[in-house]
Amino acid sequence: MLTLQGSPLSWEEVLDRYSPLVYRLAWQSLGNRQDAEDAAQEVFVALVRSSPSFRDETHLRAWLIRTTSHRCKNLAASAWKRHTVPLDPDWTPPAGAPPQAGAVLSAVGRLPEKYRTAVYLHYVEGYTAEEIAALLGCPRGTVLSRLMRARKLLRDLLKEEFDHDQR
Amino acid sequence: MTNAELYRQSLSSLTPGAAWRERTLAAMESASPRPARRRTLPILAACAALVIAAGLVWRWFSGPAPRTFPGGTVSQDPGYTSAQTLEKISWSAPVDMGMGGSDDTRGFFMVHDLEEMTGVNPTLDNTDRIKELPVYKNPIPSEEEQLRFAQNVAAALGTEITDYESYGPETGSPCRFFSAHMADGGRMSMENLISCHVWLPERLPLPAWADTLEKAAPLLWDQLAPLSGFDSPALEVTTHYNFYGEQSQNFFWFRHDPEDSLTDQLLDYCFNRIGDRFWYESDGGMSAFYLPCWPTEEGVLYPIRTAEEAVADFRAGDYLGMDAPTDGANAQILHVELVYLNQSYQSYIQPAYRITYTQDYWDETDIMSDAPDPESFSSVSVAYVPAVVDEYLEELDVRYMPNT
Repeated sequence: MLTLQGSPLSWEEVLDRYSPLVYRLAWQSLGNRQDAEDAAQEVFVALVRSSPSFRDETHLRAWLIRTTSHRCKNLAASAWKRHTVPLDPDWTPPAGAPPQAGAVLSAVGRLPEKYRTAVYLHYVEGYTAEEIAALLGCPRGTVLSRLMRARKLLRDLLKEEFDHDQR
Repeated sequence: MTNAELYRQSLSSLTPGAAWRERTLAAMESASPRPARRRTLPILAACAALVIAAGLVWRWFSGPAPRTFPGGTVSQDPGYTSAQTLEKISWSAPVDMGMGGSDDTRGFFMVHDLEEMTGVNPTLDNTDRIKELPVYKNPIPSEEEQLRFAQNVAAALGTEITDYESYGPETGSPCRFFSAHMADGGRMSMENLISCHVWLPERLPLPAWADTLEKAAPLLWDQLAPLSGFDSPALEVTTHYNFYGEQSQNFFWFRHDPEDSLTDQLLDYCFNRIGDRFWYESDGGMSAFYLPCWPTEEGVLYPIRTAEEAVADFRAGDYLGMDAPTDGANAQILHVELVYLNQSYQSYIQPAYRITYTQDYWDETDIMSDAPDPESFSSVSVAYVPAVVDEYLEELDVRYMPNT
């Protein structure tokens, strides 16, 4: 049983609240549903095995984000080391998304992992640079630098601005 | 709709299916639960311990009393030795290193002056005398070892750990991370036992006139000295600029004794240091710093190649860097120095040549378009080449660099 701010949280509640975050991060890293599902499942099983206590939601989210990142890298490297051909990223927009989103998803998927995570947390989850710094355990300046470099790379890839960021 | 809005809308609609939820819940329920571990440490009635000693007079100014720390050395030089036989060592790199730039149009660090990123490494353009250097193993510590280290750090700060978390290979990480809260409101994070970052509950007191790093540095050293473990500091400050043209400074004090051998001076420069990154004048002070952290195991001396050989490798494109591959043959090399790569994911903490360079065809005006006077900026980059001779070096082992 997981505890959050001293209160128990059932596994069903954990999945309901946090599976979208973990799954989307995994999908953005791996580019296909099957691998994303595998990685996301591994994250939640690791959560059970670790049985940590979290003092607040930021603490829990930080743990989930870090573990998702590690698992995605492990998954990608495992396929590579087995000399199998990993599933190619398929940036087809998910059901319900605008069809023209494919190019944007593909561009973000090509970013280095640390830029991609910052972009996801900022643009999808809505965290500020300061909040992302707290989640990732790095200085705010580092997050700002990653976001700026990511926007520059995306501008090169998409041939147009990604967005104008508000500091 | 902007690209960012397209991105947000697309991912927001992505959710795992009901079948996945069922499978995952089953997997979670069948996973063996671990016994609950007590991680919350008792909080002493520590208010008295945080009160700055009465009657302390700070000779530099009258104003807010400086912070005093009990101090103490938390990390010791493990020393190094020679060995009759040397085993091969590996050189690890993060899997996404070298992907920092999409094209070779600018360097990594934006500067006004090409020398702003030059430090005071005792081996700066002065490597010829060194023929061998220690290499250290970098084992992953246990949670208990990290906790003991952290408790010593907290005691040196005059406080104690209240709660912590430590996670390592069990989560897929190539090293062990540690984070903790302290009774005085501060925080701490560690990577293995070779990096310790402290966040104080509030900035170190400074008078109003100490509004630049240059003015503040002596006053900050006065307060940090008890935590450093040394009393003969040299200060390094390097400057670069963010994309808004704001000055950002990295700085640290390191133990420096010119009477020591150049090898020992280098080791002090790399490991026996206290300081931080990203000093912005607008932030108004310093509230976080890295503590000195030595490797945990005794080093073994390995022969190293010459700077000329390292530069030849760089010119040939055989190096590690954060940018897109560059025209190494025609790069303008600014400096060559020896450093240690001591990232937590490295299997061995080992020496490398750091080559700082620039290119005359780089153009920073585009990326600096949000800064005042974009054309006033230049840029420099850094390349790393292994220092240990090839005979003892395994092929590059590409590993993971989580969130660094």
